[in-house]
Amino acid sequence: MTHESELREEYSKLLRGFLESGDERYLYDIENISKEFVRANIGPDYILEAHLNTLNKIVSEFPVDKAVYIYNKASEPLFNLMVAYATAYHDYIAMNEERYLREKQLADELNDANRNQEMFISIMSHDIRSPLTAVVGYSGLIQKWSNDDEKIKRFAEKIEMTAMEIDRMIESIRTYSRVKKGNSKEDFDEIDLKVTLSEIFEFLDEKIQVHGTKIERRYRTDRDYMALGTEFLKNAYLNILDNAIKYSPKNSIISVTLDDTGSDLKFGVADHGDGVPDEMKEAVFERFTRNNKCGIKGSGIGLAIARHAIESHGGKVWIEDNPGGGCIFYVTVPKA
Amino acid sequence: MSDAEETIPIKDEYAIVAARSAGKTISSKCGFGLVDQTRISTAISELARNILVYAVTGTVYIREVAADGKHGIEVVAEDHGPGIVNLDLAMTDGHTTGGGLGAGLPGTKRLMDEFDIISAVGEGTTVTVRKWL
Repeated sequence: MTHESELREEYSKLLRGFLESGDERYLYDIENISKEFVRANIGPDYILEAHLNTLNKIVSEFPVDKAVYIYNKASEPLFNLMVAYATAYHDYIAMNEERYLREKQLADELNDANRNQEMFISIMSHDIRSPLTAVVGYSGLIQKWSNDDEKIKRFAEKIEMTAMEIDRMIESIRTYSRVKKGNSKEDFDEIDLKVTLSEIFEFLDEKIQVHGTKIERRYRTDRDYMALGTEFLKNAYLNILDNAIKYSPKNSIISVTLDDTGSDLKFGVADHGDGVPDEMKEAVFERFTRNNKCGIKGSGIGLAIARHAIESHGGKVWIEDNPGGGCIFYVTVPKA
Repeated sequence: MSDAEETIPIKDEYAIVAARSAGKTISSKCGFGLVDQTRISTAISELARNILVYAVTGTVYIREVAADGKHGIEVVAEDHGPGIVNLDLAMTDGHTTGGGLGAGLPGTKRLMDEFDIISAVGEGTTVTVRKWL
């Protein structure tokens, strides 16, 4: 039985109880049930229907001369029901209005907070970058005026490299804040994912060598895989591949697939690592979650950025078990 | 002046039913029609229920009143419970701490013609409502 029919049934019982006994208690219960009607979003017309159906049934059980008496008496419970219903309904509307206003206020506050955060990041990155320029510039000058003192040259080089590293970190904070904010139209270019992957493998070459990882490219190199993408999307693929290498045993094989599914391009990375348990398959895309961090470097933010980036391209990313052990990361994005 | 009066101690739901019933008898005696009788007994239910929910026990007084040539009914709901900390909030439509629809003072106010409330934290609450013929 649905909640609605249960409530109608309950009302029928109360109405019958009142008509048979005249006990005030039934009116009180009817008052209470009217609030349930409002909560269950059952309109007054349906209640009237239930009222009349019950009434007709009761009347048919009595001699005709009793009918008028019963009909008259039945108006009292109906009035009770309607007055309580109206009172509760008014409250219900007022409650919703209040909730709506509160939610609107929260949304406004959230927008303000986001705007402030963006402003903060942009001011901060500008203000820190300016003095960094001086650090880089003077390190260069020190190297130039070091009178060929190798030690001083090396120290100055270290200072320069560290300053550049800080610059890259600021850039990645800006990237994260921009990825979260979403892409604007002019950021999108038609990119060939096959070419993007080649660039990534080149970039990761040293790491691949050090790990002794063997990359198995299981896709055609004689066709295009065009998608509309931004730098953020390229970074997402880089992050996922980088991750696969990091979490794979040394000298293992990573298979990379690229498939045309009709509307989408599906990218897959299958590794032979420890795999990801089911309860972690979603969580690894949250910030600062790592499945098993023993001896592995990283901030734990890479996959979170990757997911934001992929979703902002209308794509999806998820993890499945690799039948041969390990896991497979899949990414789909719409074709250009 | 008043020729009908009832005092009902509120300590459980049966007392609410008794208060409603008394309200109906007196309002009918005053000459109120069935819809107003229903409004009055619904208001009494709300006030008595508030006593039960917030103060656990209290008293409801119902009596016929006359003033300025008007004739009507007065209901006083009195308790010595915790009192209401924020009266303005309690009187705001849509605000509820008892967790229910139609369990508020604004609803009672709408059902009656006059509404007065006195509340002191730690001392109790007295709500007086009137409806005129």
